[in-house]
Amino acid sequence: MKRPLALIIEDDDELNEIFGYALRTALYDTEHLRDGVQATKRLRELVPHLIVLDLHLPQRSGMDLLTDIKADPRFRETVVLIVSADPRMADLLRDQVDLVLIKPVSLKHLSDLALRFHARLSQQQI
Amino acid sequence: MSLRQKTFIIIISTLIILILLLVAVFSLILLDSFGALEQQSAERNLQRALNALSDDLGTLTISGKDWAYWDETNAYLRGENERYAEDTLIDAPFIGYNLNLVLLLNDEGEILHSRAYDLTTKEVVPLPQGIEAFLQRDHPLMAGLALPASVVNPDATTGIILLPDGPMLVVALPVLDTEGRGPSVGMMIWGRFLDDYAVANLSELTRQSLRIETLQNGVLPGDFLLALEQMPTPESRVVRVLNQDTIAAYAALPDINGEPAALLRVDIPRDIYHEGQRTILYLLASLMVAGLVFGGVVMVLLEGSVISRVTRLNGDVARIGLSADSAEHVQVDGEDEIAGLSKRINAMVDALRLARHQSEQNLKTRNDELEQRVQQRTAELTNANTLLRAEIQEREKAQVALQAARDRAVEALQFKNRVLANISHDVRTPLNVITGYVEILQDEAHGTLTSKQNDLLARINWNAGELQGFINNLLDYAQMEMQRIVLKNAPFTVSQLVEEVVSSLAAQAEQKGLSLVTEIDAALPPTLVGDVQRLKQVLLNLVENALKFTEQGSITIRLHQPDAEHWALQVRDTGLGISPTAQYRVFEPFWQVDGSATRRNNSGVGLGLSIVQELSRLMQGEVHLESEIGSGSTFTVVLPLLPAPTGEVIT
Repeated sequence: MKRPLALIIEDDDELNEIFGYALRTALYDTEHLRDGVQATKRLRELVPHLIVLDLHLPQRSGMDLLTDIKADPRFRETVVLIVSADPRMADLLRDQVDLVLIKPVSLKHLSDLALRFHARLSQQQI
Repeated sequence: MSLRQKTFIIIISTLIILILLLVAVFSLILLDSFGALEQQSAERNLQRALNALSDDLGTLTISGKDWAYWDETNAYLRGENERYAEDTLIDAPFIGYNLNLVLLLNDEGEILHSRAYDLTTKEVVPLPQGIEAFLQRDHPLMAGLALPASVVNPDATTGIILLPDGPMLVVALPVLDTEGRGPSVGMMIWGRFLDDYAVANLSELTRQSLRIETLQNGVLPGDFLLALEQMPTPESRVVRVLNQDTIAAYAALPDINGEPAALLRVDIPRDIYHEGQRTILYLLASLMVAGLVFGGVVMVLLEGSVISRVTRLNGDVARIGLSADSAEHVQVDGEDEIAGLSKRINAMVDALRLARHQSEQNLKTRNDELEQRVQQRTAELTNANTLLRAEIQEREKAQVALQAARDRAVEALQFKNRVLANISHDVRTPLNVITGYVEILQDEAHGTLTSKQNDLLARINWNAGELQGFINNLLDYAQMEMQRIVLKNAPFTVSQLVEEVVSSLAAQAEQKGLSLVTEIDAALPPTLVGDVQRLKQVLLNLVENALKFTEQGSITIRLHQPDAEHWALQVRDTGLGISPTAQYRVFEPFWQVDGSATRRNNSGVGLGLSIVQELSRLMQGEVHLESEIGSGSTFTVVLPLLPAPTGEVIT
C-alpha cells in the first residue's frame, strides 16, 4: 500500500527535519519545503494528505498559503496542521484548520496525531 | 400750569363774566328805554300825520265854502247863471285844490253839474263808480240839501267815503248866499281820492313816509292786517317794528259814518333804537378797555408783590437743591408771609446742609474704610491669584510631564511586549529543536541509551518545559498588562477541570515524591460557568508553584463553596511556608522567595502568582494566602458562582 504524503512547510531546517522524523514514524512519506513561494508552486502540482504549516515563512506567509488551501477544492480532504510560535495567532486560527499546535511541539504528540489522521485516511480509502 | 398762568386766567375770566353781566343788564334796561322812546316818537309822528290830514280837510272845507257861499254858484243852481258851469268849473280849481270830483246838485238832489278829473294825467275822466249811493237825500252827506233860511254858516259835512276805486276825502257844503245864510239852494260836493298822489302830497307836507290802505277790498298787506288785529278799538294806535331799520305806527281812518274805512301807516326810521344799540356797543367797548386795563394793573401788581417773588423763591429753592455751594440761600425781602416762608426755607436749608455734611463725612469715612478693605482684599486676591496661576502653571507642566511620562511608559510597555512576543517566537523554535532532538534520542533511533543518558535527556526535557512555561507566563502577563485578555465564559464540568490539571502535573509530582490529592465538595454544582482555559491556567500555576516549594508531603487541590454566591479553588501544600513580610510580595511579578537554599530548585522568575492574581481579578474574584514558615501555604481563589443552565456543558 502506498504511504500517504505529508508536506512539511517550515523555514527552520532542523525543525523541518524533526517534524519529518515524527511523521515518518507515523508512516507518512514526507516532502520538505522551506519558503512560501516554493510551497505555493508545489501545491499546484500535488495534493498531499497532510500539511504541516508554519505561519512564519520567508517570501510568502503561512497565512497566505492557508488562504489559498482553504479556497482550493482540491484540498478538501487534506488535513492541515498549523504549527505556530505565537499563541495569540494560534487562538485566532483554531476554528479554521484541523489542528493548531504551539511550539515547542512534542514529537510524540505530533506523531500520535498524525497516526490518528492516518487511520482516518485508511478508513476513507477502504 | 404756573401760578402766573393761573392768576392770569382767573383775572381774565372774572373780567369776562363781569362784562357779560353788565352788557346783559344794560341791554335789558337801555334797549327797553330806547324801545319806549321809539314808540312814543312813532305815535307822535302818527298823530302829526293825522293832524296834517285833518288840517288838509279843514283847508279844503274853507276853500269849498268860498265856492259854495258864492252868488255865482247860488245863481247857477237856481238856474239863473247858464254860463257858470262853462266859465268857472274848468280845470284850474281841480288842480289848485287837488280835487278829483266836483258835483253840484239842486235842492231836489238832482245833479246839475258833475266833473271828474285825473290829477296825474290832467284829464277829465268819467265819474267814479259807486258815487250815486252817497247822493241819496237821506244820506248824511246830503244833510245840507234843504236848509231853511234861518241857517247861518252851517258846518260842512266832511269825511271819507269808500268807493270801489279807493277811499275818497269828501267835503259836502250847502250852497248859500255870500253871507252864508239860508235857505240852501242845493249842494256842492268836492272829492279827493286818497290815492298815491294824495298820499305823496301828504308825505311831502308832513315829511314822513305815509301809506294808506283801504279796508274795503278786504285785501290788506300782512303788516296792516296784523296791526288791525292788534287794535282793540278803531280809535287805538298801534306801533309795530317792521324790520331792523323801520318802525311803523298805524291808525284807522273813519269814514263819514264813523266806521273804519282805511288804515294809515307812518314809517319811521329806527334811529333812536340804533342809537341805543350803538350806545351799548360803546359801553361794551369801554368796559372791555377798562377791564383790560384793570386786569393788566392787577396782574402787574400781583406780579410785583406775589408771583415774581414766589417764582424766584421756587427758582432759588431749585437752585439750592442742585448747587453745591453751601453759602447759597433764598433771597428774603419784606416782612410778609412770603418773606417768612423764605426765612423758614433758609433755616431748613441750613439744617439740611448740616445733616448732609455730617452724613457725607460719615459716608466718606465708611467709603475710605471700605476702599481700604477692598484694596487690601484685592491685594490679597492678587497674591492668591498669582500663587494660583503659578501653581496652575506648575500643574500644567507637571501634567505635560506626566502625560509625556505616561506616553513614554505606554510606548515602553508596547515596545517591551513586542520584544517579548519576538523573544517568545525566537525562543520557541530553538526550544522545539532541542525537545525534538531529545525525543529522537529518547526514541533510541540512533542506538540504545544508558540509564544515565536517559536521565540526562529527561533533565534537558524538564528544563525545556520550565523554559516553555516561563515563556507562556511571560506572554500572558504581558497581555494582562496590556489588558488584552477577553474572557470566554461557557459552562464547564468542575471535575474535568481538576482532572486535566492533575494529569498534566502528576508526573512532576511523582518525580519529587509528592502526593497530589483532589477534594471536590459534594455541595458544589458539578457544572459551572467560566473561562475554563483561564481557570485551568490559574489552577496550573498554583499547583506548579506548590510543586516548586514543596520537598515532601502532599499538595491538596480542594474545590468548595464558601457561601451561596461564591465558589473557591484552593491549593494547600506542606512546603516551606512564606514569612508574613514575604506574603505581601508573593503576587508581585518577578519576585521570588530569596535564599540560596531554595535557589537551585526554583529556577525561573515568579510570574505564576502574579498571573493568578490578575486572572482572579479579571474573573471578579480574589486570591487569599494563609501561610506559616515551616507548615506550608494555602492559596484560595474565591470566584462568583455562576451555575450552568442544565444540558449545555462543553467538554
